[in-house]
Amino acid sequence: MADSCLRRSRLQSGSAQAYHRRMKVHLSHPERHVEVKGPKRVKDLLRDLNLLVEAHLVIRGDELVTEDELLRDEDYVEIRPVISGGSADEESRVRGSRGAVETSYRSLLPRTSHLVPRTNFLP
Amino acid sequence: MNCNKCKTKAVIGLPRHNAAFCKTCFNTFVHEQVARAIKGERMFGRDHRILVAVSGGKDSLALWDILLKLGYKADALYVDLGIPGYSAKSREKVQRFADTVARTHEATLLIHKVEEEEGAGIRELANLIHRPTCSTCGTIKRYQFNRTAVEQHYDVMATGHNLDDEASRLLGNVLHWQEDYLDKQGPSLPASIEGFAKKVKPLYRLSEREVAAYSVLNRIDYIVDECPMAKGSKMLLYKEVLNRLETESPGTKQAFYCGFLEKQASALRQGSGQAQPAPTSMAEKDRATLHPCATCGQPTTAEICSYCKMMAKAKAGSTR
Ligand code: SF4
Ligand SMILES: [Zn+2]
Ligand SMILES: [Zn+2]
Repeated sequence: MADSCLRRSRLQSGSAQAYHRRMKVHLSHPERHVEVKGPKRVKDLLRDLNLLVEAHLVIRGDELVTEDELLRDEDYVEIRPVISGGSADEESRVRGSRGAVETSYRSLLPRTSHLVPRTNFLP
Repeated sequence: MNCNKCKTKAVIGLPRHNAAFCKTCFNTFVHEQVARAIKGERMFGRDHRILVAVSGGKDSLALWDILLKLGYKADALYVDLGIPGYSAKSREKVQRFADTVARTHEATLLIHKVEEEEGAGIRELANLIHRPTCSTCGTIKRYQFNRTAVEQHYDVMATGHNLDDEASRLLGNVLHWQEDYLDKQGPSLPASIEGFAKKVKPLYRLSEREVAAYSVLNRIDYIVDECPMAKGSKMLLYKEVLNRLETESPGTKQAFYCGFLEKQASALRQGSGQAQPAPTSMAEKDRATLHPCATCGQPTTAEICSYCKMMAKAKAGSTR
């Protein structure tokens, strides 16, 4: 999902020159690095990658940055997921969720939330 | 974005409070929220001895850090589950925090090794007794934390559950109408009978993102990859759903969970106003059904507690 967004932004950016310098973005679940063309605001970067602000922190170098911060090509950025699965204490008390089932964390991420009107979600 | 309080550059925005803070003011905000939780829910006082359940993750280490900085007497217990590739790493994080931060506050780290005490790692144990790893893990952790708290004379046991944990668990319980568990869900569970430690969740007013931000800002080195067994749990799905709602209307998680707590409190007030209160409070229910386990003496509803039963089964399985 992330890849197609990046590919699109690469195509839009046009010339091969633009490949020279891009911000490096470190993602988790699964652990990977992608390069993104700057300048870009934090909230736009998260939206392009289909990630919720509420579930992530964006760290530039080793500083936490807010959603309106402008990221540049020379930046090294980590997008750190903040959500963890919770302990067995809770887990075993919810019926139908005993133990792990074979879906990956990624499959729970919003794949298409940027494609559907967001207002659909609430009345 | 600038800090609401001191107008310097903000490091985090908090849509549900319609605010943004710099590092210093955010730390103050976090400490205030935790202090408010502790006082509002009458969790513990300055003289009490607290046992924090730590895993190496952001929540439990942040909790330990905050309690120490607020001046409370807090030691910690880490349960080493013996999960290859995960336990060693998480234990290292806990140990490092203990050596660098906790030590300066004269706080102690206790370690329980499942491989040594129970004779095998959590996955082997689960295999032996034919139960899912997470439920085996839950039984062992609950048992060992409670036992340590009671035996080592801690007044209260604190866990790092945050607002997202509590709200998603509430959602799960409501979706399945788990009424029995609904009245057990609160940020402060009293020591209902002799042998059960009081349990509190001082981070329940902070979202998961806020706790993570606190850890990052204060350079708390925590394990980002979580336990490999947690993959795809229902809780992650509930959290995801709640976070989408939160994105659309900030404050949803807090309104959901804190609204529940208010309803629960007012129901309890009404109940105690009656001439003959219905025996619905957890303490009363517990008193009516719990007694010491025949094998280990820990409180249980059966003759032998689930931990002892589990260990007996594991022993039988391993000698077969
Ligand atoms: S994910 Fe399961 S096995 Fe891992 S710590 Fe949580 S309850 Fe235990
Ligand atoms: Zn400030
Ligand atoms: Zn027992």
